[in-house]
Amino acid sequence: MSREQLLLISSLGKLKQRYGQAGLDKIRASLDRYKGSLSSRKIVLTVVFLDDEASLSSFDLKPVRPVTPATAKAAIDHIISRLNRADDSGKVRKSGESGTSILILGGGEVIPYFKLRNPALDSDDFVASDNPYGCPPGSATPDKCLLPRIPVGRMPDGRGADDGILLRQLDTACEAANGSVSTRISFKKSGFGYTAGVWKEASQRVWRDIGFAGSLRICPPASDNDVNASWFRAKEFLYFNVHGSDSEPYWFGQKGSSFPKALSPESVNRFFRGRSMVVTEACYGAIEMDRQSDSSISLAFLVAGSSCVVGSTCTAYGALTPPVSEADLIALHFFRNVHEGLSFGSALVKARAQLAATAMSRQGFLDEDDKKTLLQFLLFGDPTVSVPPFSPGSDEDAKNAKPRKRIKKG
Amino acid sequence: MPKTLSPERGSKKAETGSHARKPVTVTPKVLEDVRKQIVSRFPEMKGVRPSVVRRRLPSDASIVDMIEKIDGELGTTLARMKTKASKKEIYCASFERKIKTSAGGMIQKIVRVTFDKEGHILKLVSSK
Repeated sequence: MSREQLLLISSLGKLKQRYGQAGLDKIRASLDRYKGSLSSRKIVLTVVFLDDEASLSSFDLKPVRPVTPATAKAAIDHIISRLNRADDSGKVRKSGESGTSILILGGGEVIPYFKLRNPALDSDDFVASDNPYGCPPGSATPDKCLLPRIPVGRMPDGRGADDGILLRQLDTACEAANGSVSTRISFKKSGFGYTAGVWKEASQRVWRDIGFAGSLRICPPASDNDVNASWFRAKEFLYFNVHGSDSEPYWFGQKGSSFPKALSPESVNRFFRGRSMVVTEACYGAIEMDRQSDSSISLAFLVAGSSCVVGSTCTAYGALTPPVSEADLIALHFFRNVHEGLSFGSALVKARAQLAATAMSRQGFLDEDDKKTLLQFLLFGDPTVSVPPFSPGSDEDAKNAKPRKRIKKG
Repeated sequence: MPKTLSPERGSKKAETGSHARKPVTVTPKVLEDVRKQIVSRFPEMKGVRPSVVRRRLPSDASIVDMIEKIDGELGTTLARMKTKASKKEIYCASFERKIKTSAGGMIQKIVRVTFDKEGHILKLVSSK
């Protein structure tokens, strides 16, 4: 069996332009440490700067200039085919099985997202997506990119010249590669959920089906003013079913026509310390371009040490009441797949397939909202990280959890 | 007698998008019944005129293949079910409104309801 591969893609020119030579040197030193850490998990890290001749010569490629979604994908396809010749099964792999994953170092300013036609014809002009990077060569249209087979993750860096956003994510990935994620959080078995009141029933169903211990809070009455460190302490999974906005940094709850502030980047920066996995169903939950850690909740979680964030790049949809659909199914299946031992990247690949299968079995087809959901959810973080399988809900931490407001199951 | 309804005025996407390939033939009564149900559930959508499109029901055999390549067991199960798209005419009405948040900004709230020609609601989702 061939060894597991992680292909890290970035742009030397863009990183240098943003962080200067000093910042670039720090990032390269961090990548060296990361490579060493991954090798302890028998994962081979291949770092390729798409605009750097030295990176590409061994793949018989010339520097990619300019780096566009299409040129980046063409280069990635070529490199993957070289790396993956011995293993082209394309099946979702459990941790330790051979195969290749892709990690994009940098946000959309460094390696651009694909801007796919929006199947839903709603207020979004396009769907920003990393799906095409994980799809077979030549697949770059929405219908061909619904279900990528190669796990793709991204370490976003938002706006500005703060190299700390990337360095912190690389540190987290090093710790995960060294087993720190497993030893520090995998046996807590406890989650934290936060839902807008309007989606209480759907969230309860997701919460129940995942099997989390811990508390599911509802906004309102809970709000950003109530956030404190105990909400997040020792929680392995953080689940958010709230509203998001492309023009504001906050996530919101809802009751009737009232949309109170549920969470702010400030609260995350102030109270969150941990390695929790985060899934947010919020519209624009994964928006990072033109944002910083004080204006993006996802970036705030990553800078504070989250091992991954799964979120949407644009307007997302979900059900009010069971049966749950779209974004709810992404969250449900991602968490369950991680429970079962899949890596973060494979868990999302499989979650999309499970959403598609559910929609097909209910309706006989994928409607436009299902398709948009498949395209819009992406993974921030190292796609190769996994945590050991466990049975949730039996540890002391969860037993002792005293939620301020616990909602009844089902 | 079914009457062909035009998409909402100003809804350029609905007029030019792929949804518009099939004519919308919902009776005004059915649409009004659906609208009432939505407003009772989402009072914030009172006064909003929805854009209505006919849902395309494409053959998705390739989706089953893609699922099978990711998860063989799931794909096989789905293939055994021999799921078939309904031959019913199915429509999607989209209600959109900008709503002020407690932070003072605006967010776009969208409610999308899928219903059949008789007005039975098949699926109801809202934007996050």
